[in-house]
Order: sequence, then structure tokens, then C-alpha cells
Amino acid sequence: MLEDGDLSVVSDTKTIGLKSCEGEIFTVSFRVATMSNTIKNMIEDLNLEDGIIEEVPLKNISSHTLKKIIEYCEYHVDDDPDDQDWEFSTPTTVSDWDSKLIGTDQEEIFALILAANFLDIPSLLDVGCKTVANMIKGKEPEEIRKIFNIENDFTPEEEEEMRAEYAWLKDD
Amino acid sequence: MYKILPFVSDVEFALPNLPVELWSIILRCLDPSSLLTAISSNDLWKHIAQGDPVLRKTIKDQRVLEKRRRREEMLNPGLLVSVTRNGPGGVFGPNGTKIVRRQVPARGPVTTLEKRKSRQNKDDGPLRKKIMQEVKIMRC
Repeated sequence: MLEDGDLSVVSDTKTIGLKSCEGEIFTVSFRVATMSNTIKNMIEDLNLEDGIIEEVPLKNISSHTLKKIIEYCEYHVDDDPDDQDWEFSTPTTVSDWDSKLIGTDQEEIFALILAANFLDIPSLLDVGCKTVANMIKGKEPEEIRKIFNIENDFTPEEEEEMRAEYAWLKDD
Repeated sequence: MYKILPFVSDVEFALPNLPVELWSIILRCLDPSSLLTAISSNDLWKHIAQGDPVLRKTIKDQRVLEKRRRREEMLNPGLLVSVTRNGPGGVFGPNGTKIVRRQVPARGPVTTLEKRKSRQNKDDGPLRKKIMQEVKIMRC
């Protein structure tokens, strides 16, 4: 069994293949792949650190999403893990590079969040959630419904009640 | 709890399919004002916010703050009145009248539940009249 520190020492030459649901195989270095805690744990648990792993089936992640995740991991592989404050803090700032990678398409963002959750990449999950939070922020309920394609499931009376209840928030 | 379940699953199809815990992370990223707007936009988020301890606390704190503000308004109605002075002629209108701007809060007066219900039963007119600002010209 390897210690945490040892895994990063494992040379970059060792690779791991990630297989998307379409069957496409992406080959990445160990160091990049172990950004994902799920894969890291898998490698540790199965004691696979000596050899090259041909493919890890990721049946719920599409090629497109996986490509983005790998791009993210490769960019952020040298980040200090202690540097990121893994807190659900209110300031929802996303760096330019990250927001460019994530894009604006809703389906892609949600697929990315789901995949980040599955692969257990805290920083990516954080970025994804903040992006969605930014979409919600400062919008009227009608706008939010429009953005997320939500049917209005309140009766007009309920809605009026709600609006009256929360009207004071906009006074300030 | 089981009463809510079919309803929640019903709503979930309309929304992008994220598990509840991820929605709760997203909602935690919001500031209180956005959070309350968000949960008033659909029922699933409302249920999630009620189930999440952090979000529940945020909402509760906001309600307490609002209650305090209301009490302050009732005890100190003078705070709501502000006199505007726009230049030399600002305070006094024609004929020596004094212009006083009175700000009325956006919601209606505090009503008891019965009153609210009886008001709901009436079909005529909106439930609450929204009066944001009322300019009163008083004789000086």
C-alpha cells in the first residue's frame, strides 16, 4: 500500500486509461488521474501502482465531459491542495480559465457537476456549483424558472403570498 | 415525509437531474437574499432548503432580522419618514407647503391569519396593495 506522498512520486510515465460511456479511451498520467479521489482510492485499494492500467470504465460519463475534466485536471494538477479552502463560502467567484472551460451550456454544466461528484474532485465540484449559483444569483423567481425550464407549480395565490413574504428582502 | 416524496420526484423531472445533496451545495453558495428568491421559485428547492440544516438556519436568521425590523418600525414610525432637500426650493413646495417623503414598506400591514384568509376568499382586487412611496404634501 502506498502512502499519500508516494503516489505523487510515482512517475509521470505511468499512465491510466479512462474509458467513457461511448467507449473512447483517454490516456492520462497517474498524477493527473489521482486528482480524482475515487480513482486514487481505487489505485490504492487494488494496489495497482506498479503497472499501467489499460482502462477504467466510467459508464456514466460521456466523452465530451471526460475531455473537459481531464483538461481541468491537467491545468490544476500542480495546485496546492491545501491552498483551496474547501468551504461552501458565499463569495462565488470563479476564475476566468475555469469559467471558460465550463462554458454556459446548462446540460454540460450539470453533467460536469455529476461527474465531478462521482469522481470526487472537490475543486471542480466547487467550481461547477458556484457557476450554477451565479446563474441563480440576483434573479427574480420568474427568471429562474425561465432559465431552468421549471414549470410554475404554485397557484397565483401562493405566489402572491410568497412575493409578499419576501418583498422586504429587496428593500435594502 | 412519504407524503412529500411523490411530489418531489414529480418536480425533479422538470429540473435538471441533480441529486438533492448537490442542489443543497449549490444553494449554500447563494447569499441570503438570492436564496430566498430561489426557494420561492420552485417547490423542490424549498423542500431542500427546509431539509438542509445550514440553509434552514440562514432562512431562520433572516426571518428573525425581519421581525426585529418590523418591531422597530412599529415602535419608531418616525424612522420611516425622511425629508428630502433637493436644492434651495426642495423642502418647500408652492404656497409654502412642506414636502415630506414617506416610505411605506412594500408589504401590506401585519394581518392576522383570519383576516388574511377572509381576504383570500374575496375575488376582487389584488391581495395586497403595493405602495412603495407616497409623497405627502403637508401644510407647514
